[in-house]
Amino acid sequence: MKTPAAVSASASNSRRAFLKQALLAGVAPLIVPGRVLGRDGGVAPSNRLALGGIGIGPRGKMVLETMLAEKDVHYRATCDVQARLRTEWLGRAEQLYGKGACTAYRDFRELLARPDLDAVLIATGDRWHAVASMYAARAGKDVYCEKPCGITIGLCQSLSDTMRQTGRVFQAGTQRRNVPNFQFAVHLARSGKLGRLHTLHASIYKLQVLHDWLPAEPEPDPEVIDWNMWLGPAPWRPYNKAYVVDRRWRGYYDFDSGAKLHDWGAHTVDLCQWAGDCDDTVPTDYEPDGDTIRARYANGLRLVLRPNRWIGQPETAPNAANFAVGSTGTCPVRFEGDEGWVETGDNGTIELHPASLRQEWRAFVMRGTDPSRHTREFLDCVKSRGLPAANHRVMRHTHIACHAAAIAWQLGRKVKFDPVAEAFIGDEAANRMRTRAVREPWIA
Amino acid sequence: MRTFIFLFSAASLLAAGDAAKTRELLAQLKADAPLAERARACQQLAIVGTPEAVPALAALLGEAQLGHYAREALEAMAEPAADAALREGLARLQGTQLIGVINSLGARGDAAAVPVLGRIAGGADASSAIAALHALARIGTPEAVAFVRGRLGDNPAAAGALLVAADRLLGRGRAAEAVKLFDEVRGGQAGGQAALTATRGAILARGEAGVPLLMETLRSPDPARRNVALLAMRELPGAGVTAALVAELERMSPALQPLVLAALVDRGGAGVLAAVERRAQAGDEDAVTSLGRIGGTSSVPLLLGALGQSEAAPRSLALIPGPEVDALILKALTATDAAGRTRLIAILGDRGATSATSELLRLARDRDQAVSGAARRALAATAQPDDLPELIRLSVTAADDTLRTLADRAIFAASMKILEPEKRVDPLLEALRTASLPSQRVPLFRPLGAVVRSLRGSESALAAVKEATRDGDPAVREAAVKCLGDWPEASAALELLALAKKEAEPIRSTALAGAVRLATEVAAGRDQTPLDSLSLLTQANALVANDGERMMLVSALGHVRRIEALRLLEAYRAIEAVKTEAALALVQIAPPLLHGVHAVETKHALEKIAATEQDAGVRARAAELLRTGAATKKASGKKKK
Repeated sequence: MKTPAAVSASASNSRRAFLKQALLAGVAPLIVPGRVLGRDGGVAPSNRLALGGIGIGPRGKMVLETMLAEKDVHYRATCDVQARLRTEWLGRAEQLYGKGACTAYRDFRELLARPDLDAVLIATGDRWHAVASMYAARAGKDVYCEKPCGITIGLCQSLSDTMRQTGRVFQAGTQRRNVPNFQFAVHLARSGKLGRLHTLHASIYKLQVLHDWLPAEPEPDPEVIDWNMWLGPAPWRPYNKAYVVDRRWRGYYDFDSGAKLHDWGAHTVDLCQWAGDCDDTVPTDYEPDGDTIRARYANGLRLVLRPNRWIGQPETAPNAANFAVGSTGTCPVRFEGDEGWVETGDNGTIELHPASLRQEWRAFVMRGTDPSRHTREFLDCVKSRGLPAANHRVMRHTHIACHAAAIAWQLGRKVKFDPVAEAFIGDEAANRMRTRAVREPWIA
Repeated sequence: MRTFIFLFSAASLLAAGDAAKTRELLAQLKADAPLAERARACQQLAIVGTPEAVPALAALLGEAQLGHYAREALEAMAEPAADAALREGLARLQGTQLIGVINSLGARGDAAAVPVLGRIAGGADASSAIAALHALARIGTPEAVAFVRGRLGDNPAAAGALLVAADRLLGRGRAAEAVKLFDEVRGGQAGGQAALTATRGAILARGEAGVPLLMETLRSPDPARRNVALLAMRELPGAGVTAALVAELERMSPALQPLVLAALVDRGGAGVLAAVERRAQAGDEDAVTSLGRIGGTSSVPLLLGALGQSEAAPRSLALIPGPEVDALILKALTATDAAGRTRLIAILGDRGATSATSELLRLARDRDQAVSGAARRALAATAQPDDLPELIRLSVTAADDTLRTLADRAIFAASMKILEPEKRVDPLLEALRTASLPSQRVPLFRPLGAVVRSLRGSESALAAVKEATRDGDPAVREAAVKCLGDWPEASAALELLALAKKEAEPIRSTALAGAVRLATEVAAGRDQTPLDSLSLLTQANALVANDGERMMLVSALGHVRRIEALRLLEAYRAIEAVKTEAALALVQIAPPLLHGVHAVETKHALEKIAATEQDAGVRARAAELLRTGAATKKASGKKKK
């Protein structure tokens, strides 16, 4: 369902004008001054944001630690289907705040039932992101959710609608929106420094969909690993510890998002959408071409999703089967206009033409994938009720664009998409792939 | 159990309504097929299946492991037969499988299921009743909504479900009906998030008429309700809304004002800027900060007036766009004291105000050291390549090294703005060529070296610096040799060795150190210049004059895995000051030599170290090499220590 017309303010209109100036001056945008938000040190325990964590594995750890470093955060509840991770995060919280300061849960619904929690970090596998986020919003919690935020178009729509209806703050874990070298590249694209923008390039993994079941193994004691809860809204299949312990669920149709396209696409397509001023829409045409998907927006702007041919990327790199690593590092994006281009990635290197564009660079000193500014922005918005950079509408359109591209690739044919109806045009198979029933008893 | 990997690639597999494919998949659904295959068949039927598959899928709905897979297929099919099969499931399924079927009917918006769902919503089983309420809300027909309203008093889930229905009405433009539902939930017993969602919806659905409710909510002592208002303030459209909120701002509690101000700034619109400026004028620091986001030329005088008292004012001045702002700040420079000028200059630098460059160049020569330094800092941001001659003059005539360093940074920044990389050294080389006095040439080598390093070398600069090493003035020669010693590629090494042979101190030692550094880069593989590092280091070996230089050479030899290097190191084992370093370097280069024609000589050298070296770590490493022919990790860490 689409956003009601009465409240269909642009996802980032007011932010973007400010951001442009903030970027020019090398000043991090603040929604409300830190003093007002109570994060300038000396925050009384009662004024700290009470945070809960759901499914905090290796990726969640990176994000959560940036939140724990903030003086106005208190980690009060942790939840995981694995006893090992419950113990680990309980210990970490005790190390920070003392014994009894944090409680561990196996079922996230118990955590969400606590009235004292302000916000949750959801860092489970993809299969859980949307459903757990919606349960959290309905329980009155603000949500920072790791990407990809929903494994189907339908789940992304429901998630966005739920966040809008409940008025909860939502930040998708697409932190490159708050990393300066990417912001700089977007600034060049949006400010007209590249001339008329004609093509956006987003790096993606080499696409793949797996349907096999790993050999069945005896189910462990649910107190140690709760397999049914691990599966959650995903289809049932027999237990194998590799899914859980080794996190070998990536690429599986039942667990991953869109043929692995979202692994990077959620970041890189997101940056392209932003660069092209397309935060409130998605491309209308998608055509697979081997490992590449060529898409086009209604205004003619092209979006190319590809795993290779990035600057400095060896043609026969050992990891060529998975993802691109060029001279700008992982997760590269490239924006091209008729007067110049820019390409950048996670190592912070910026390749551009003409060289005079480098004059635009001022104090974009942070680089890489550090999510600390992204998490800080989320925490500020929890207090101010402002709109964070990767809000639910931004997430919705970025993720739908990724899903539509992945569906075109899976179908092996060109598809057309209506950005308003959020449906494929004249293609029933593609439309059927927009949604998948979630497993009972979960309600999406 | 059979496992399989299916890579989507064949378009023929995935055309909806494919009868032949449906029959093929139905054959895979038979009970004797492996479970994974049956599950996969359901998932493919979800994409391609025809109504022919419905009976077989319906039969699986009650199965513990495949029920959800079958439902996935039925939920996806557009045909009414799928609705009928799911409705039939309402009558015969229980527990979670019943909930699943309820969810699917809700997702499909099946109006025909409403009466049965209504009964389930009022039934005794709490879980299926909650699912039914949600499904009814998604179906959203008047009859469905009536069932949900009927449960408002006795099932807390009904409030949430009714809000979904209300939101859908609002989305379809039926605001008046939506208001009724939102108000019904607000007026009921619902608490928690449902009450908050209802309040937000009730404000937004009313449009501009929602302002009184917005204000009432904003004044609530409950922070959760107040937060709803702060959000709704950003969402509710209309100039009248903005005007009402601006008018209310001054009457709000001091605790609330900054948050409302932030929301207004997010909202934007007529009247907001004036309100923010009024508060900034009154000394509200948050308002001063906000001017950085929405301020304009009108904000500049008050921000200029706040400099010195407000921490936020400089940043806001840096953020407000427009050349007219630059002009106002420049004008203010003339009407303030040195401390004020220093602040304004920094702001011009933060703004990258190129129009200020000529004034900054003038101020860079100000008698006040702080003003002069600030101007030089700002020039690094504003100066352009055309300004380089004047920047170079600033460096050459600087009163002290602090000011010269700041000028050099500006020279570097402006040089890097030259579009063609090969021309970035030209202004400095031109200055070098035309400078008549040694004191004018000496300062040029430091910024020149910085530019050359950023370019990874420059032929024209190398020639000029080499020529300067033959200058008649020793200070110029020393500066040139120092620049050459830091050259980014090793081709300068031979020149440096020649200088080390003929020059007196301190140029001799500077040249030698530079040559050894460049040879080390080649030996370590970090520089690909086609030079023989052993030959370079052998020549350097003949020039070393003290223990410091010996240590430097021994360290460099530790990168050259050749027998000649080993022999040189053997000789250094006799010198007390460097013998342990020499032993370590020898151990470092020994492994490949142990397996060639020099194995006996290398082994002998290692045996001496293993027997006599004082450092236990190095001794152990030599012994380990003799035993295995390979170095231990632990010993290899010793050098770093």
